[in-house]
Amino acid sequence: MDLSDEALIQNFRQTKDPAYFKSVVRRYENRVYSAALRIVGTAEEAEEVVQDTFMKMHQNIASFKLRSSLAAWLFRIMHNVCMDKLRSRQRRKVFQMWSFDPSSAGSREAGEEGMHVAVNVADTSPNPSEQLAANEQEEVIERSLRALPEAQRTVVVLHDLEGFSYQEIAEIVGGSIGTVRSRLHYGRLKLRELLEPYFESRDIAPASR
Amino acid sequence: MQPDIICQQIAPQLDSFHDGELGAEEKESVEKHLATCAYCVSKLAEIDRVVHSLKTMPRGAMPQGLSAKLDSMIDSATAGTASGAAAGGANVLPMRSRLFLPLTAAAAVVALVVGVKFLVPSNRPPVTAHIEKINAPQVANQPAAEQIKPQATVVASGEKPLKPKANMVAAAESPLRPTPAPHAVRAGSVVALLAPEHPKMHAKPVAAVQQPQQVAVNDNTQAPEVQVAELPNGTNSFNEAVGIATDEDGLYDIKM
Repeated sequence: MDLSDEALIQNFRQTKDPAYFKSVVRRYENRVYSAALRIVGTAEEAEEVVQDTFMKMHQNIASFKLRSSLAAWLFRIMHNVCMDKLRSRQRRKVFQMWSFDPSSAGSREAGEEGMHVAVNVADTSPNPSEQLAANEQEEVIERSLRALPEAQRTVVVLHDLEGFSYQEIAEIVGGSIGTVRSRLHYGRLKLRELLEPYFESRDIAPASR
Repeated sequence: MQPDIICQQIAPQLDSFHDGELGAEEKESVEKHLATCAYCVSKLAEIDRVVHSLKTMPRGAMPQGLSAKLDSMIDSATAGTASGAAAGGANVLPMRSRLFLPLTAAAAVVALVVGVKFLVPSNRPPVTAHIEKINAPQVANQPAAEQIKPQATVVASGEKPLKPKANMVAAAESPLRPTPAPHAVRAGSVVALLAPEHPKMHAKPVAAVQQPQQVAVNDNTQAPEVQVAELPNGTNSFNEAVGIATDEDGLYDIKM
C-alpha cells in the first residue's frame, strides 16, 4: 500500500525508522536531480545538490508542516542549495580571475579538453533510452534552456518540466506570483526566439489546441 | 497581420492564459481579443509548441550509485552516529566554508603577530630622547608634571634645520657634554640628554614633563617650544597613546 507523503513523514517522525524517509527519497530523488541538473548545469554539482537537499530535509523534518505540499517544501530546499552552488561557482570564477596564470592557461585548457574526450570515450550509458534522450531536438532544447538567465531558467524548469503552479513556484523561489509570471513570460519568449528557427527548419508544426 | 497596441498589452498575459493562471476577468478579456486577432493566436501557438516540447523532455538519469549513497547517508544521519555525522557533514559542508578557511587562518596569524608586536614592551635602555613640536606651556599645564624633573641641556634653533638624529647619537656617546652648537638643532625640535645614572627610564605620558630649565636658544629667535626632561628610574617602556616611541638607537620621539 502506497502511503501519502504526509503519512510517510508522520511515520518517520514517530518511529525514526529510516525506511519511511527512504520511501520519500525514492519518490523525489529523480525529480530533484533532474531539476538540479538543469538549474546548475553540471552532473557533479547536481549530485551534490541532491545529497545536500535530502540531508537538509532530514535535518529539518521536524519543521515541515504536514498540511503543506511536501514537493514544494523539498524543491524550496533544492532551490536554496542550487543558489548556494551557483554563488560558490561565481566566487570561484572571481578567485580564478585574480589568480590567473597565463603560462598555465594553455595547459589547463588542454587538460580539460582531454578530459572531455576521455568522458566521451568512456561514456557508459546504461541503456538505449539515454542515447535516445540525446537526440537532436532535446539537445537543442537543453542548449536553449542553458542560454536563459538563471532566474528565468529556474521558473521555466519548475513550471514546464516539474509542473508546479505559479503559487508553488513563488513559494519555492521566494518571490511574488507577479515575479513568477514575468520571469516565465520572458523566459519562454527567449526560448521561442531560440527554438522557432529550429522548429521551422524541421517543419515542426505548432501543437494543436 | 501586424500587432496593434492591444496585442502588445495582451502579449505578457498569453503565457498565463496558456497555463490557466489568469483571473476570470483577465481571461475573458484575452479570449475576446484572441477571437479577433490572428497574430496573437499565432503567438499563443508558439508558446504552446515550446511548452509542449519542454514537457516532453525526459528527466536526466540519476547517476548510478547515488540512491545507495543517499540511503547510507540517511541511515547514518538517522542513527546519529559520529561516523555518519562526519560523512554527512563532509558532503554538506558549504563551499563558502571551504573557500574562506585559509583566509580565516591567515587573518588569525596576522592578528597574532600584530598583537605580540604591540603588547610586548621593549627592554632596551633608552639614552636620548628626541622631542618634536613640544609646546612648553602646553606641557607645563599637564596635571602629572611633577613626575619628571627637568635636568638635561636643551638646544634649539630657529635656523638651519640640520639632522637632529646625528646630534642625538653624538649626545648619546657623551651624555654629559652639551650639544655642540645651538644651530645644530632645527627649530621646533628638542634634544634631551639623559643623565647616565638613569639608564632606564619610564616614559610616562608627555604630560609628565614639567618645565624647561636650561634652554639655549639661537640669538635671533624667540624661545622655542622646547622641553627637556629626566624620566624617573625603574621602568622602561613607551606609551604610544600619547605619541612617545623609541627607535633602535634608544631615541624618544614624542609627538603632541
